[in-house]
Amino acid sequence: MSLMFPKWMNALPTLGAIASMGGVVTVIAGTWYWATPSFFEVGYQPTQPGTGFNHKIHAGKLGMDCRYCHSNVEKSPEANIPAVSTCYGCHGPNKVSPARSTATDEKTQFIRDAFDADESIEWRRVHKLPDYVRNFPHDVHLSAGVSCLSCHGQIMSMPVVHQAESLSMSFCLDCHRHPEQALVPKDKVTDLRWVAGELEARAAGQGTTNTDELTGMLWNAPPQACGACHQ
Amino acid sequence: MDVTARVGTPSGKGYWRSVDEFSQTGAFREFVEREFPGGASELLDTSRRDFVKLMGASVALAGAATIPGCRRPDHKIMTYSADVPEHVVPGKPLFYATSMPLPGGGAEGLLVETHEGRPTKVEGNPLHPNNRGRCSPHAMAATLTIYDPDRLMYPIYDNPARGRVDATWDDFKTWGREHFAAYEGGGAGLAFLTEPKSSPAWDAAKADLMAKFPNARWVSYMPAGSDAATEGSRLAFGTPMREVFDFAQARVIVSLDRDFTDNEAGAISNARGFGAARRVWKSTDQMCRLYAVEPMHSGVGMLSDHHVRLAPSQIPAFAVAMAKAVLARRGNAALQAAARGRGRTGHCRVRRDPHRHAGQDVHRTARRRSRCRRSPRPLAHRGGRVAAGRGARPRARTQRRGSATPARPCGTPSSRATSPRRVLPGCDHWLATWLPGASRRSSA
Repeated sequence: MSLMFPKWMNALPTLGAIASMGGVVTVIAGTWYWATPSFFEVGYQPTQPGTGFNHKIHAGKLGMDCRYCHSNVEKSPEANIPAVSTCYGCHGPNKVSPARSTATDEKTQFIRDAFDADESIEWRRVHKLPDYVRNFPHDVHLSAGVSCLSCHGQIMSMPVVHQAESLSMSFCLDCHRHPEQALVPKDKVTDLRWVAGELEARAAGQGTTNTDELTGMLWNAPPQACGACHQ
Repeated sequence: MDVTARVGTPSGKGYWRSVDEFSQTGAFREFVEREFPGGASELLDTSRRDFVKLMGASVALAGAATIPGCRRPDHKIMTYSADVPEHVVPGKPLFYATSMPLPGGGAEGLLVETHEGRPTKVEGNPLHPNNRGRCSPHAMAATLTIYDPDRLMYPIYDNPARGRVDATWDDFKTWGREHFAAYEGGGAGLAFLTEPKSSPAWDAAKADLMAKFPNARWVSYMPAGSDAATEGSRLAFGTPMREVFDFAQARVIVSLDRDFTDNEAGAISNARGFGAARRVWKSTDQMCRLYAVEPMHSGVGMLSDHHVRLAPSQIPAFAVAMAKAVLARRGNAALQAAARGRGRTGHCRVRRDPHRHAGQDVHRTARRRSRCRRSPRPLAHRGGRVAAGRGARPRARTQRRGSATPARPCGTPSSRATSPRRVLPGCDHWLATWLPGASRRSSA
C-alpha cells in the first residue's frame, strides 16, 4: 500500500513553525524600523515658495539670530514665521543687502512681489507635531534652556530646512527623563554652533557647563505625565 | 400604517397623551404615520439600485482618497504680509473688551477671545459692573452668529421680476440715491423699520438720517419684546417704566410666566441676585423660595421649588386670586406693600425708562443701579411691622407679563431659625390653599 503522504512531509510542522516565527520576527523588525517617525519624518524637506529661505546664508554666514525672524518664540507657544514685511526690511528696493547682485535681486523678487500685492507667502511647514500633541510650548522650552538645535538640528548649515530629528514620543521622553543631556545656558540657546560643540563634548564627558546647576534652575521637573502634552 | 385601525379600540381604559391624539386630528395622524417629522431631509425618488450605486461610489472614492492620503499633507504657513496687526502674537489669544446689545434691551460687557483676529469665545467682562465675568446665553452664542453661513453679508434686493436677489453695497448706493431722491423735501411718507438697538454708532446713524429727513418716521419693533410690560406701566403710572429687580433681598419669589434668569435684559443681575438669595453659607441663612406659574417649563420653572402649569389665559386670574389671598391673610397694607414692591422682603422697583419710549434701550446698567439705590423707599417692611412712608402709590394690578411679585415671609423668626428646610411653613400652606394643583417639588 502506497503511502498517502510522503515521508518528507513529517518535517512540515517543524518547518512551518520556524517559518511562522521567522515571519513574526520579520514583521516586528520591519515595523520597528520602517513604520516609525525616524524613518518617515526625518529628512522631510518640502519645496519652499520662491527660492526658499536659506538658513545657511542668513543664520550661518551672516550670523543673524534666530529671534530676528522667529521673534515671538520666547513669548508664544508657537515659533512664528516672520511676516513679509520682515523679509522686506532687508530685501526691499534699495535696501542694504550685504551681497547685492543681480542674482540676489532675482532670487528675492518674490518677496517684493508679495509685499507689493499685500499677499502672504505660502511657506511650507517642515516640523509638524501630530494633532494629538496638544501642547508643545516653544517659549517654555527656551526659557528652560533647551536649544533650537535639540529638536531642529543644525539649522545653520541647512540651505533648505529639513526635519533632522524624529520628534517621536520617545524622542520627547528621552529628553524629559534626562534633561541634563540637553540643557544649555539660556544666553546660548540660539548659538547653535556653540551648542553643537558643547553637547558633543558633554557626551564625551568633557562639557564646560555645570549640568547640575542647569537642571537645578528649572522651575519644574520636565513633566512625564500623559496630560502634559496630550491635553 | 394606521396603528389604531389594526390594533382596534383597546379594551379597558383608553389613555391618550394629548388632545390631538384624543381627537385624532389630521396633523397628529400624519405625525404618527411618517417616519420622520416634517422638514427632515429624506432621500426621496431613490430606488434601491441607485442607493447601492451611490454607496459603492462613495466607498470607491474613499478608497481612492486613502492612497494619496498616506502622504504627508502639504501644510502651508500663511504669514502676515506688509501690515502686521498690532498686539497679535501668533499662538497667543488676544482679548478684546466689548459690549453687545441684548435683544430684550440693554447691553452686556463682554470679553472676546481672539486667535489671529478670529473670535473664538465670548465671556463676560469681569470688570463690567453688570456682567462681572458672567454673560448671557445670547452672548455665548454670538460666536456662532459670526461664523453663521446664513448670515446676511450684503443687502438683498427685492426685484419685482426676479424676486429676492443678492446685491452689493454699490447697488444699494445707486438704488438709494434714486429712491430717496423722491423724499428730499423733509421725508414725509418715509418710514424706517428697524429692530430696537442700543448702540452709539446706531444712534449716530439714526440722528444723521433724521436730520436729513425730519418728517420721516422711525419705528423700532421686535416681535418678542417687552413692549407690553412697558405699556402697562405707562397705563398705570403715566410714564413708561421698566422693573429693576433686587432678588438678593427676596424671601419669596412668585414668577408669573416669566423667565427672569434667562431671557430678558436684566437676566444676569437677576440670576446673580437669585443665587445670593438662594445660597446658604451658615446654618442661620435662609433660602429664598421660588414659585413658578407658567404654561411651559422654562429655566425659572426648573429652578423653582413649586411649579404650576397654567395656561397663559389663566395667569391674570391667578394674579387676582393671589392678591385676594394676600389681602385675606395680611390685610390691605401688606398687599399694597407687596404690590409696590417696597418691602424689605423683596423688591420690584419700577424705574422710569424714558428712552424706551423713543425706541431705544437704556444700557448703562451701572448708572441705573446707582440711581435705584438713591431712590426713596416709601414703605418699609421690617420684622413683621408695616411702616407706611411717603409717596406710596399702587402698582399695576394685574400685569399680564407677570413679574416676580414679592411677598413677605410668613412664620415667626424663631420657627424659621429652627427649621431651615421648611423656611416658610406659612407660605407653603398659603400656596397649597390657593393652588390645589401645586406640584410640590423638593429642592434637594
